[in-house]
Amino acid sequence: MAEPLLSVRDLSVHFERPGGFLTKAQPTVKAVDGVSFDIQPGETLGLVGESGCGKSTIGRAITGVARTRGGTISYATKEGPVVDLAAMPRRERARYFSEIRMVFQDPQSSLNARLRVLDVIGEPLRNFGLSRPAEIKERVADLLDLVGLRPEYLERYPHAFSGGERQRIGIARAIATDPRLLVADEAVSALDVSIRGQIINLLMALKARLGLTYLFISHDLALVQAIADNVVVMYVGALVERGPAAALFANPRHPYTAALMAAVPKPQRGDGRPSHAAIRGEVADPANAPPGCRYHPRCLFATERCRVEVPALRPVGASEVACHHAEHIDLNAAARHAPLETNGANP
Amino acid sequence: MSAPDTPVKLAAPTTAPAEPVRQRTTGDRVATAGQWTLVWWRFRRHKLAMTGLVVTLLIYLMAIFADFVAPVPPHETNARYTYAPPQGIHLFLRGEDGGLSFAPHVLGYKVELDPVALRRTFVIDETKIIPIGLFVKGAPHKVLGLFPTDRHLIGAITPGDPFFLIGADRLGRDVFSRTVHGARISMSLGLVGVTLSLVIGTLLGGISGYLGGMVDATVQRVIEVIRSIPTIPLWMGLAASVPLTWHPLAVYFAITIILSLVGWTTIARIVRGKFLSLRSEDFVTAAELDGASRMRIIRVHMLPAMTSYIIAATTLAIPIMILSETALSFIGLGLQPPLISWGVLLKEAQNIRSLATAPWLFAPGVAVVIAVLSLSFLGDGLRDAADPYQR
Repeated sequence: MAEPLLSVRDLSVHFERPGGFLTKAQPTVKAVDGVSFDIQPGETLGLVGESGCGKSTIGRAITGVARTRGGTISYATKEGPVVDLAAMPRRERARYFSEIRMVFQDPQSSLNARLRVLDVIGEPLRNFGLSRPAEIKERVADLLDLVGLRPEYLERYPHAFSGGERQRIGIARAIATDPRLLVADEAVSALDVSIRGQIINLLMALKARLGLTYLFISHDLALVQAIADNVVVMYVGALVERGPAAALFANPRHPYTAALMAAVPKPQRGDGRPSHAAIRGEVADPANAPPGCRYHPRCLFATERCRVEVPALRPVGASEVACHHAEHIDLNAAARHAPLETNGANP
Repeated sequence: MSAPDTPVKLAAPTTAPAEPVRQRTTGDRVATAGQWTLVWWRFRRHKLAMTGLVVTLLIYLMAIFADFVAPVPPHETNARYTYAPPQGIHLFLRGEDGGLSFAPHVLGYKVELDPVALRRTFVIDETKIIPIGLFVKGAPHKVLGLFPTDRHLIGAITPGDPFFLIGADRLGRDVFSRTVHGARISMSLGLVGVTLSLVIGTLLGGISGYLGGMVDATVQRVIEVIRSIPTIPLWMGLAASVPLTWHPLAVYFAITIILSLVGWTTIARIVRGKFLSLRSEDFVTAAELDGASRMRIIRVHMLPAMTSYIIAATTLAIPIMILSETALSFIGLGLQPPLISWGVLLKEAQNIRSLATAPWLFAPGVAVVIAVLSLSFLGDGLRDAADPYQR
């Protein structure tokens, strides 16, 4: 395999909540705790998990918004040498902001309503000195054209655009710096379903055209299955399974992955209708994660070992799985049994 | 084809393409409208606030051109007309032939001695007609302190004739002229005080919100302590420490500083709150990732998002300043004569005697109410229009 563009090793992001005068210290939130994965150049890596599992935090750590507590983010720079972004002081880190860019979830709040589109998209061009001031307008018009908006819109303010158009502006801002890696954090979740497809198509077209690499963070499994080359599944700050998308979706090895997939609604009628709740219980609190395997309180196959020993990531089939029993559990049976557990009234 | 149809037919091809073009330009107008244009469009729809804006502007104009608006100098005494009642303005004069002619005038006074109370009372003298007019000659003054003139907006055509639009006070000074001049100090004190509050408030609030941590906690506790002290005793204490020997102008600034020492806390809290909420906005994070420096993030991305709120809060703080000054001067701890402010003028109306015999001495009080109300309406309108992007 080629050298990865970005290699995350044992990444931890913790949010400490120290007590102040008259307030008690709260337990530290371990949003991301010892996560490792690689992003190969040119691939789309899907990062999936439930809300609060730390997937957005990983995106923020990679782009440089969130401070890491431990681990390394090795980035193969354009010039060649591999640098550790996590260990860099802020000022030095900012140099790579233009190479690793972010597309935000909410196109409403991620665009400064008080700036014209020209200034919104021109901001990185100006700050990174990528275009001469006189040429910014021309470049922004080109970018608007690239994302499918009319170039004459550059004098307009964001309030004049619909949600989908705003997201296109956000994408134009992200690609303005000719980045190598684009972190799309739930980039289409806030959009109407009818618009989603268009934006996904745009992202895929841009990827092919500009040679981009995507870290696609989403909770939409069907979407990730459609566009990702490789997938990483997270649960409460830890990685539970990773592998090629095709293999992982065809044959999930971790009970959590299987449960997530079972939860995806499928258009079916009659007796074959899937259960509404393929997974039981609540997501664990990252400030107070259960010992052993974090998933064990919700797992149908949990044994004593799961309650005590943290499972390590190990290769099983085409994927890598963090489960003690990955080889000898029948996940298809689990998916069939789940309805009996939670949905007895609906055989 | 009938004749009336023809012009319509002819006009149709010229108007039809014009229609969509016009619609597109209005659409473009909204699309390319910046923050302040949107704020203004929204503010304009608020009728009460628009009224407030107009009245406020009129009051400030009146204050700036007080010498011109006032018929007589505010310190001019006239012993013959102490406590003279208001004269009504008559627009028409009935001539000897019984016909009406346009001749604005007021009627003169006749003094009668009340035999029981041995008190002079003024009676309107129907025979004494004092013609009045606009832009009449009177006492010389300088407009804006630069251009000497002797014209006044309104007054008696013959200088020296009694003309008391809303009566005279105990020294025979014109209450109207004094109220007009009072606007100068009362309204400017509000502005100066609020500017001072704004500077302190924005600075401390900004530092508090931006740095957070211990600095934030300290500033917030200081604000809480200041706000927990009852204001009137605090002002009284501070104002009482201003030496009587000071020049009136020095006293004016001392009072302004005292008022803004309390006033900054509200603005500081608003600025801090806005800083905190904006810091977690996605567009600020985006600006950071766009390589913007700290100063640029604050200047270009954060400040424009809060200026409209700050302006609204500042406008709402002016009436509080005016009321505070009036209250302080009224109880005799603020400004002192010969300075004229509405509070100083109201001091004349403190006793029951003036209430009974010269109710027109309350005119400055009415002026305070009008000024405070219009500023409040203006501030309310600004606050409602402050964020044109919220849904």
